[in-house]
Amino acid sequence: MKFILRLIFIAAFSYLLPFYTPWWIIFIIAFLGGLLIKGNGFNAFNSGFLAGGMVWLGLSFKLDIETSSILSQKIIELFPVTDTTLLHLVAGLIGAFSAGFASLTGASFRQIFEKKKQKSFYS
Amino acid sequence: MKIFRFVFFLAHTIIIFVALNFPIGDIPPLGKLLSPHQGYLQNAETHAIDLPNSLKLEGISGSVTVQFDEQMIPHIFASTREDLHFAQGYVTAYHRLWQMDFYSRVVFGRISEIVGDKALAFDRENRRIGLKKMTEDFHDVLMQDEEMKRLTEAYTAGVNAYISQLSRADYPLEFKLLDYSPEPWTTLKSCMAYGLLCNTLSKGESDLENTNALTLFGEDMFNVLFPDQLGNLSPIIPAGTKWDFDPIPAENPQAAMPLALTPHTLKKPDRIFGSNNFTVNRAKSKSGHPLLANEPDLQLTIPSIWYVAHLNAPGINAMGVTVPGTMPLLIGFNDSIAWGFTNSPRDQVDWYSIRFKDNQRDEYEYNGQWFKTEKIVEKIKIKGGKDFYDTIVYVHQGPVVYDRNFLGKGGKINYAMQWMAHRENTTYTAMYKLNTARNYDDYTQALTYFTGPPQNAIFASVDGDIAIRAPGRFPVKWPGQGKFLLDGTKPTSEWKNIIPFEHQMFAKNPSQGFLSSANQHQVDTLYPYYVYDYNFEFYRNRRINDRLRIMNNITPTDMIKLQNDNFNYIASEALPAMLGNIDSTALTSEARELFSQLSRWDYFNEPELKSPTLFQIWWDLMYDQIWDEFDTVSVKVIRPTIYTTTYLINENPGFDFFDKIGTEPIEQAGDIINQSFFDMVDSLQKWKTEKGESYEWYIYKNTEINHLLGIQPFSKQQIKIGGNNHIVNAAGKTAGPSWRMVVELNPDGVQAWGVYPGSQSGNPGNPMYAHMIENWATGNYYSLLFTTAPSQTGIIYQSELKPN
Repeated sequence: MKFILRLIFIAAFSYLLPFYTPWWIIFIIAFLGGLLIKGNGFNAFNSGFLAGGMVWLGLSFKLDIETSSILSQKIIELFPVTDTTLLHLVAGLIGAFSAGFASLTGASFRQIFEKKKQKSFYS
Repeated sequence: MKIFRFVFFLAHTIIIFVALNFPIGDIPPLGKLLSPHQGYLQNAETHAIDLPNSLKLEGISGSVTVQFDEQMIPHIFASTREDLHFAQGYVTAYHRLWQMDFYSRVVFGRISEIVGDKALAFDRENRRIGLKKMTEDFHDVLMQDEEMKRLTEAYTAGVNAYISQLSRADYPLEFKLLDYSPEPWTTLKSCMAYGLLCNTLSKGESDLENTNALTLFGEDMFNVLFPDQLGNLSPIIPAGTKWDFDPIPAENPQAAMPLALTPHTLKKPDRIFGSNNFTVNRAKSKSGHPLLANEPDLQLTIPSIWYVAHLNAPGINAMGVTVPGTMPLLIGFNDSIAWGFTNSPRDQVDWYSIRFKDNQRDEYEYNGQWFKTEKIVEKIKIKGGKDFYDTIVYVHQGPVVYDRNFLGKGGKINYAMQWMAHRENTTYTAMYKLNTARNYDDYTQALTYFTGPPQNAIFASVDGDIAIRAPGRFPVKWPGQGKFLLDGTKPTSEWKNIIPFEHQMFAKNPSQGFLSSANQHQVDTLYPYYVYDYNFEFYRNRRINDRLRIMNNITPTDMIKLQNDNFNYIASEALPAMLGNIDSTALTSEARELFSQLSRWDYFNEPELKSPTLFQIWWDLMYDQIWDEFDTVSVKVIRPTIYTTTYLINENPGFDFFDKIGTEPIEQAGDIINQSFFDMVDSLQKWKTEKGESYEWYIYKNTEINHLLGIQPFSKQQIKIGGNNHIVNAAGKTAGPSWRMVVELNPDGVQAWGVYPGSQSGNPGNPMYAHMIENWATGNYYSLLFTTAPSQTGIIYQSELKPN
């Protein structure tokens, strides 16, 4: 549950905020997501990875389709990339790793202050 | 342990952030560029025009209507001049902001700031030749004219109104690719077109190369290789024109010239830069209204150097092209007149060898005394590197461009540049007066302010007058003055007087019924002043005049056809002699086929023909072989003109230079012609193997239009257009007709047609980016919408700018 919650948190704000803020707000959002919504590092990273990836990949595709790939066709020629889909994939990976690592960082920051749960004899 | 984990992951995150947010070498920050919210995708547009229908802006006093037609040309209707130019600034920035920023950086030597140290030599040269300083001086003078100050400030405010509402996501794409932000615009930056155009049009000279050639070959041979008047067959001012004034005399000091050898010189503006314009009077025009055509030929770039606009406010209803960032229309028409320009080569630069007192360079010798120099330290910022400081020493003649830090052989060479463009200049005022001129007298009056770069200003009016004038500022020179390096220690080589306005060359309503110019000699030898340049045209002018002489009942379509004329005058004069020297019976069957192809050719460089390719390959090889001596010298020299070469082939086939170096027998013209013909056959075979079977002219010529940054996906190659350098349709490889305009001066309503190879929008993400290139290539002009009030038809979008 926490996983889904964190994913939605990161995805929603990563989708909405960067229209008004610099692009790197995703790091802050994902850091906060990892910090505030409890979960282990693995979950934090994955939820950030999926959230950031979906937003960047999805929005990249959407905008490109709406504009008939008028620019992506030209931009790929600047890189060793032959397909516009690859360009969107790269964008997705950027969002994914940015949010994934930031979320993981947030979770590991929270874990500094978490006390280890005492394993109870009577669980 | 946990803290260590945290720091470990934090470090990774920071590394990722840094890698994505800052450039790595030439690669733009991918996080910024690929961000769907802020990056390149935000520059992709679905509609041609994306402005709001209604805009509230600070800085205008009343409502301004901006209509965009099908070519996205803005038609601006305002109730005051200030509002008009404010809106003009806003709209021009909307379409071309990055280009404006780029051009201003060229002039101020600030390209290294955005692309890195690969542009350092470029910036250093531009600062040394004074582009920045002359723009500052130009600006000072402009701001003293109360009206021009007010209107330039309004234009600047309009540009800034546009910039201030931009979010990062809205930045033009090139800002994102180079990772920098737009700066505020200034009235100083609005003056940059002056420096930009002078740099292209009036900087060209070959004094140092001439001096090298003079030193190497001697005076007699120099005059055979570089004759002043050879080829002056069809000057701008009709030959035989008499001049009714007493010229200011120029005393020839008969002093010895410094014979120096300069190994490396500044790169010249491309030798084929040039344009044409022509006008026919009522008698020659079918409709009975004068017709005027103009096309400036420049480096073909995208965004195009020109931006079309229609300006309408009390006292002005004019349309034409501007350089983005400048307020006045540079070529165009209004309700009463039309005007246009071609470059008028007049050797506006002279070089002076300077003797410094010592290595400190605080004093220099002049007239037997020591004078103090002035030193200016230019700081050039470099992206990803340390600032570079360049000290420029100034003497009274100008900046010492060649010195121990720059092309000066470690200090053995010190040359100061005297460039007329450095002096006080009021050309913007002239231009603005032309925008509102109503007749010949207004036109002449406007040109009294036209101080350079020297142009051939053509004119036609609804009153029926046609005229041409060569305005600018010209020193009175003795024959030969300025052709070679001058001695900067002697007052005798200075520019003493300026040719008065009343003595300038002009023609009005000539009996021949037409006027034209195409960068040729302006006058014949009857003109009382010495006129020289190293770079005159010999062909396009003759073709235009040949045609206009015999044409009658001329229509706008005829004018358009003439602008697109592909007749290869060079071939018509050289090919007969070239073919005549070939023994066609001694050829292989393949060579004989090419020979007969060339023999059947009608000398037109149509895009799909093959003969123009054969001729061009052959000519280029032959020319190189004739002038192979020039490859053996270690100093910079220029080669004789095509006209001189053809002349020597026809008139002097035993000329020394036809003998090839390194071969025992002594060759004559015929030998070189034969050898180069065989080489042409081989070369063609090689070309076909490497590039494919097709060698149609447009494929071989490969006319291309390149993005200002050279970004290939934003550029276009192999455009299907005929012609070439020295042909009226002057579309060469990288330069060509940058704007084509034909105007009919009908008193009931001036009509015009135009096209240029690009688009109003400079955004590669706009659906109409570069859309006009094809019509430009095929000679299909757009009918230019030109009304006195907002139009009801032909408008694709309308925007109202309102005061806040």
